Formats: sequence, structure tokens, C-alpha cells
Amino acid sequence: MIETFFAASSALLVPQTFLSMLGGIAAGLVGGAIPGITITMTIILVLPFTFGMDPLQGLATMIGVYVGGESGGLVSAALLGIPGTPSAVATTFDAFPMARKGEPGRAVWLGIWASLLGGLLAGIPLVIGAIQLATFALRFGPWEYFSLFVLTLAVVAGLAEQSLVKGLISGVFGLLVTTIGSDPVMGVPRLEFGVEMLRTGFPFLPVLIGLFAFSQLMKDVESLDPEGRGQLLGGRVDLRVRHLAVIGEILRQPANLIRSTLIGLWIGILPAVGGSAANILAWDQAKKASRYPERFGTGIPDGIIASESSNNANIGGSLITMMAFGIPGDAVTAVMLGALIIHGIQPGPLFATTHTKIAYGMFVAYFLAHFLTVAVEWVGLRLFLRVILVPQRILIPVILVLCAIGAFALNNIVANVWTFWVFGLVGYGMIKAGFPLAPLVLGVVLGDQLEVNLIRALMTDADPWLFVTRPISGLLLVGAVASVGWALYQRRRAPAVAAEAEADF
Amino acid sequence: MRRADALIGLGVVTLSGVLLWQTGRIPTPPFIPISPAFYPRIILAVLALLAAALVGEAWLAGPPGPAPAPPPRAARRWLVALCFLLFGLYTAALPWLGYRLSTALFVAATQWSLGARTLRTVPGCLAVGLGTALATYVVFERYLHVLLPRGSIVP
Repeated sequence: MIETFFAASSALLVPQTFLSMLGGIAAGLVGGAIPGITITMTIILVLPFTFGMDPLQGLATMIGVYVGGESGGLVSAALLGIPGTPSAVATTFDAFPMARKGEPGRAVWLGIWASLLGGLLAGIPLVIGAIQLATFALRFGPWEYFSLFVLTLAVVAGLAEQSLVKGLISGVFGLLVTTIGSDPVMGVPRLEFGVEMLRTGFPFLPVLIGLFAFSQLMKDVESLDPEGRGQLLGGRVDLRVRHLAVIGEILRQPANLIRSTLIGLWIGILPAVGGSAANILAWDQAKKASRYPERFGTGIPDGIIASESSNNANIGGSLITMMAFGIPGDAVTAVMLGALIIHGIQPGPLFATTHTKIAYGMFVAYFLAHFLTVAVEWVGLRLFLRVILVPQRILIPVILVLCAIGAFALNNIVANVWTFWVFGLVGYGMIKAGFPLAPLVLGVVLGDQLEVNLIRALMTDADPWLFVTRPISGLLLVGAVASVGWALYQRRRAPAVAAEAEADF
Repeated sequence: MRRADALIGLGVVTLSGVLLWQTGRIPTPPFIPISPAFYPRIILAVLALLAAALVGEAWLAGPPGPAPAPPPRAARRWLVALCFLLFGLYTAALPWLGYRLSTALFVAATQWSLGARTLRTVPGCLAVGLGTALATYVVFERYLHVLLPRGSIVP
């Protein structure tokens, strides 16, 4: 294990990989800091840059974006009062009041150091958990995989805020998208209506980019200010701070730090629920456990520490689910799964056990990215502050162009750009009609694997009861039914606040 | 009754029905125990059932309450439609005008549409459009060796 770590570290420390990772962190920091540009969108923008890289270099760059993005979100949360990403919403509650009280440096750096500590703490279970879970998952047969994917879809559909039925429709619609084109078992064309573009099916990444980026950007257009330009606390800000004092403040709250980290880690492990739920839950729990809950939201360090340590720990959790089962822990890992497939690597438990160098390289990249993020912020924070004030009317078309490049470059065909456009329309329409996008995306991600495992199971043994009678498979299906039942019960109990967690897509 | 949900539900039921009928035309190669139509049929049947449930849910939801106040920026919806249209035109233009010219025009037009929309802002928008097209072209084609669309009229 130690040798693999060293081999992975040396692969990461070659100048080319190291520099691309630094670039990823800088992109993540900027993207995360710009309100309206989520980490998912940033990673989508970086994706075409990774096409020509080797798998580890590409994944390390994306991990850099992910870690940098989580930290970047706090900058605008603290200084603009607008969370740069959904995972920094709770950071705004205390960081912005603290900054307005004349301590912007303390607000920002409390967040940065808490992000580092939360992320590093979550790295330990990432290294141990991902490999252990992947080894356990190797015992799974097609029945267990099928049931696991059904459970995942049920959990995510259950998080739909407005209607469970809409959540389920969205998920099944995602599965339907994957049935168009050649079937994954025998390659027989299906539901392509003689249209050449549909013959090979919808490629996964343009669909994903359309649903995530295009529809989100169009939501931003609805609330666009044509003159829009942000204001940093009304002018110049002084970010100087005594770092040892700030780190000391965090370390004097070990319970808050560890609790928030564990919350972030757990939320990250849950499929499709990410930092947006983790930071609010951690802030809320920190408030409930505090001896002075009435001071939360007035600019105290406790709230910043809770929110920021949890959203970085969430990355570790999401990576565990992705590496052990091939299931995205959130939207960012969904894109990373797509990148793995582009590089010819099939995600799933075999990934962590057969591509050990890449898997351990991802662990090392995760730790390295946390340290590098602090270093990049130390040097370039002031520059990022300038970038986040670029008006959205300029950013939106530029981002759309970069998304178009990402879609086109996949196989150098304009049809992929049309797919991006069509699914942008679909995503926007679904948002407007109150359908959640998370189950749809998950359906698209898991569709082929769900079918392959269903067919493989039935070809091995035609008895469908095996899905229920095999212990692990049966338990997973019971979990799926229980998840739907729980969602129904919650809606009956409190329809207005049906979903506690929000899916992170 | 929530009319929009009921209509969407009916639309999805219809779509599922049409596609279910279409699965009858999927060829089944010999010696394959499970037809390639098997899985899509399950998915479509489940989708139809869920859509029917949505219609039922919408029906049981009772009469709609008083219309909510329109959102403050509802008028901006047309801008969204315009953005979709411009991007559609951009995609259609790529095989003709190539990456550089299409991108410059798209970025300039979209930026102008989302901004103040005065004559005074046109040069700035064109500059950003040209800058974006050239910068991305140089970075992707020259340094990252990612091919960008060629045009049949403008290469």
C-alpha cells in the first residue's frame, strides 16, 4: 500500500500534472467564487482541457477544481454576502456579518483553514473506506448491482421537494434516455426512428452538460441585472490576518470540527446529495449543540467552521461512493465518472482494485489539492476578488461556448452540440415544471449499467425472485421500498418541508 | 386540479404509449433469449404508470388557489428564449461558418442581448466576442490539440 502511495505521488509530482492540478485549483477557486457558476459548471468547463491528458492527470485536475471550488464558494459568501456555490450557503450566515463588522480577513481565512482541516480529516475515511467498500462490492453479482442502482434512484427520487411522483418520473425518464440507440448488451439499434444522430444513442457528457450547465445558466438569465457588477463590501477590503490565531480558533472547537466533518462525509457518501445539504445540516447541528445558539448568524466563527469543514469533507464522501460503487456522490463526481469512461476506464469496484495506481493517485491528489488550495489562495486571493466581479452578461455566453467545445470535442461532431442544446431545453423545461433534475441525471448515469446487470442476472438464472431472495440484493430492494415509503410519510407529516436534504445536482 | 401537471402527465402517458408501440419494431436477433425490447418495455410501462399517477395526483389536488403574484423578473423569460434561439443558430452555423466566426458572432450577440442593448455597447460586445473566439481557438487548437469545428464557407 505504502509503495503504491509513493508511486502515485511521484506520478502526480511531475511538472505537467502538478501544473495542471494548480490550474484546476485556480479554476475551481474562481468558478466557485463567482455567484451563479457552480463547481459542477466549472468542472464541466475544465473537462475538455483534460481530454488530451492521461487519466490520472485529468482526474487530479478535476479533484483540484472540486477542492478549489468548495473553498472558492466561501470568498463571495463572506465578502459579497452571496454564496458562490450552493455548498457555501450556510457560510454566508456568519461569514458575511463577520466581514461587515470589519473582520473580512478573519471571516475568509476561518473558512479557508476550516476547509483544509475538514477536508484532511475526511481524507482518512476516504483512503480506508473506498478500498474496503470496493473489495466488499466485488462480492456483488448482477442481482446486487441492479438492486443497488434501484436503491440509489429511489433515494434520490425521494428527495424531490415538490412531488415524489415527479422525482420518480424524472429518474425513469433518465433511464429511458439510455434506451435510445444501440442496446448495451448486443448492440441492436432501438428507438432511433431512422435518425442517424440517434443511432449511437445520446452521449452521456453532452446530456449531462446540457442538464447541469445550460439549464442553470438560463435560470441565471431570468434574474440577470443588465448593468450587473458586484460590490465587495462597498469597496476595498483588508484580508490581512494572524493565521496562527485563526487556526487556534478552529482547533479550540474540536467537537464542532469533527461533528461537521462527519456530517459532510456522510452526506457525501449518500448518492446525489452533496455539499448543498451538508453545509446547512452541519451549521444547524452546530447551532443546536452550542451553548449560545442565539449568537449563530451574527458573525461567530462556529458557524463558519461548521459549514466550511463539512462541505470539504463532503468531497471525501462523494469520492468514496464513486470509487467503490461507480455511483456519483454528487454532480461533480457524475462528471468525473464520465471522464473515466472517456479514458476507457469502467467505474465500479473493479476500478479501485485493478487501477490501483490511479485510485491511490486520486487519494494523493485529494490531500495535495487541499494544501495547494490554501497556497493558491494565499498568493492569489486578491486577483480572484477582481475576477468574481466580471458581469454575468459576459460570463454566460463565454461559458456556453466552452460547454459547446466540451460537447463537440468528445467525438468531433456537431451533433453533440445539438444534444447539449436539446438537453439544456429539456432541463430548463423540467425545472420550470417542478421536476427535479437529480433523478434524471442519475438515471442517465446508471441506465446502461442497470440494464446490463438486469439482463446478465436473467441470463444467468431466469428466476426473477432471486432479486428478492439473495440476501444483499433483497436488503437493498427493501431499502429502496423503505426510502419511497419514508418520503411518502414525510410528505404526509409535513408537506411544506417534505425534503430535509436537497439533491445536489 | 393542477392543470399543468395533469397535461404533462397525459403527455408522458401518450409518449410512453407511442414508444411502447415502437418497441414492437425492434428486431430480435436469433439465439438471444432476452429481446433488446425487453428493458425499454419495462421502463416505458413504469413511466406510463407514474405519469398516470401524476395525473391522478393533479386531479386530487383540488381547485387551484388564487393565482400567485408574478415573479418580479418574469419578463426576462423572453431573454431565456432568445438565448436558446441564439445558441441554436450558433450550432447550426458551426458547420458553415466554422468555429471562429460563429463563436465571435454568438458571444457578441448574446452579450449584447443580455446587456443594455444600445448602439454604444456594440463595439465592446464585438471585442469580447472576437477575443473569446481567438483566445479559445489558440488555447484549444494550438496548445491542447483539441480540434474545433471547421466551416464549409469559412474554414
